[in-house]
Amino acid sequence: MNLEEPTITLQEVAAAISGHIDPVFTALESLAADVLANLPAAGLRGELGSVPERQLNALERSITPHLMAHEVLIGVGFVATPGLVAGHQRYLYWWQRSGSGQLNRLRLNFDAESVDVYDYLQMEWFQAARAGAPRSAFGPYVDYTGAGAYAITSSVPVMHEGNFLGVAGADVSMVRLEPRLLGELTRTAAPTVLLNAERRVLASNTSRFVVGTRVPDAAELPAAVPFAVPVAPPVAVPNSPGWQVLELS
Amino acid sequence: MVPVSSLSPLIGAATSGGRGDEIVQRITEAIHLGLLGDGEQLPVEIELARQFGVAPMTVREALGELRERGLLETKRGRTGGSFVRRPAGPPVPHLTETLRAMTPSQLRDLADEHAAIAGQAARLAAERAAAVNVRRLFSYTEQLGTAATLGARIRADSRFHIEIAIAAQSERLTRQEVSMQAEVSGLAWLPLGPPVDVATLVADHHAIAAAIVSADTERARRLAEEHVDRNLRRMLDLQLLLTQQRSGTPRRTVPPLPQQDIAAPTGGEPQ
Repeated sequence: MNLEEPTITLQEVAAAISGHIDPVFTALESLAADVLANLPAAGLRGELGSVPERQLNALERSITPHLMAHEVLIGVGFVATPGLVAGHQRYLYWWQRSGSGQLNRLRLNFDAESVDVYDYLQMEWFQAARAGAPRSAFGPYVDYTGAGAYAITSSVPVMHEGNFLGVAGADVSMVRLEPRLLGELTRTAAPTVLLNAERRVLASNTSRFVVGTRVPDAAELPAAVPFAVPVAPPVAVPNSPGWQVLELS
Repeated sequence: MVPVSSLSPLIGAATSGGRGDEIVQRITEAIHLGLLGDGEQLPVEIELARQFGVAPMTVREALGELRERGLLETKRGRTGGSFVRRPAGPPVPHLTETLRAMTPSQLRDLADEHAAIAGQAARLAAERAAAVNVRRLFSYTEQLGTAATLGARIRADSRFHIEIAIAAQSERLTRQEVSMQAEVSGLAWLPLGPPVDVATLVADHHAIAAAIVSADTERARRLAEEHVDRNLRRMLDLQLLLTQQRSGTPRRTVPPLPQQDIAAPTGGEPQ
């Protein structure tokens, strides 16, 4: 080993990766605060049908700047808990950035009778936030209905005095995020992977691990992938939704 | 009647696109893959327009662009027409940029689709291949091992995989495989980093051809899928190399090998 080469610890790699995902959640937390500031008192108490739809239109000013400021984002919005918004069993106030850079309001099919209904109550990112996870993310996955891309959906709960009112969420483009994550991983020469909370590979600096595949648990790993033994315990990515960096032999 | 390539009908629009630059792209790829041979005459404009589903004017513009790039030569008169001028090697800088612009998950996605096509084509080929297909498969395998230039190797490699789809008797799978080869083969053969392990590739091709001959459908499928996976790993390695060069990671950066690791064109390339 050449001692003149710069060495970088796994902790430093994890911190650098945090720098790419932490700002997304900071933006969502700021959006969640803006949502609360926009709701009437009955809405804050979670009373059904208490929020007029038009009141949410003011959120456009809170949402679009985040989309403009963060290149990795393709969609940002507020997803209401069922029945909160007057006249709507499901309600989503969501903005997207198109390939050409234009911002558009996303409108989805919430007709429960229809086969292509978008039922966000079933989505992991919604359920995790409702269960109280301060920062959660699902993916990468092929988001055919929403973003129409390979994406990660991130979410934070919108809560007021214990009342769950909905989710502030964002779709993160893998095409945009991946090169950034890979750039950090390639700063270390040791074979290293970035895993999400379900141990799916988000990025890898070795071709032995392919993005989107799942790496078995540390205990099962040596048997499943004999050539890849963790050389140290995984390092959690700070302020991330359960991401971890793992160095392998 | 001037003969035109038997494969030229397969280079039509894969998607509904049909724009002029897409035609330029597809004919460029077909020339590099050897689907259109050096000196071969292209079908007349009106026929190409039908094939690509565009107006003759669009074809005329595309051919003009290809002439400008030096890939076509136009001769006037009764024996005139557009003739292919194959360049000596693959467009390495362009391919490098393509690979650099892709993400690892996009490469993996490409390989996922390719494995579906190549695996199914190999399975069907093991059921359906004719003697002539089998002869060509072994012949392309041999050419892969003996080819004197990088361009000839890429062509022998691609033609082998396209022949499997042809042997499967499926026109749609053949179109898909042609399209995949156009997208993938140049990337996998990029002369960067450690040289391509040609012997292993030849052994892979030989094993796939042998499984097809012995009508072992499941083995043919599995080997074809594993072959796609091997290519994926190679492309990922090359991409990591490019990423490291950009982010300045010192240790694992291997300088690109000069293209001369394979002998210069001799003119006696296998076809």
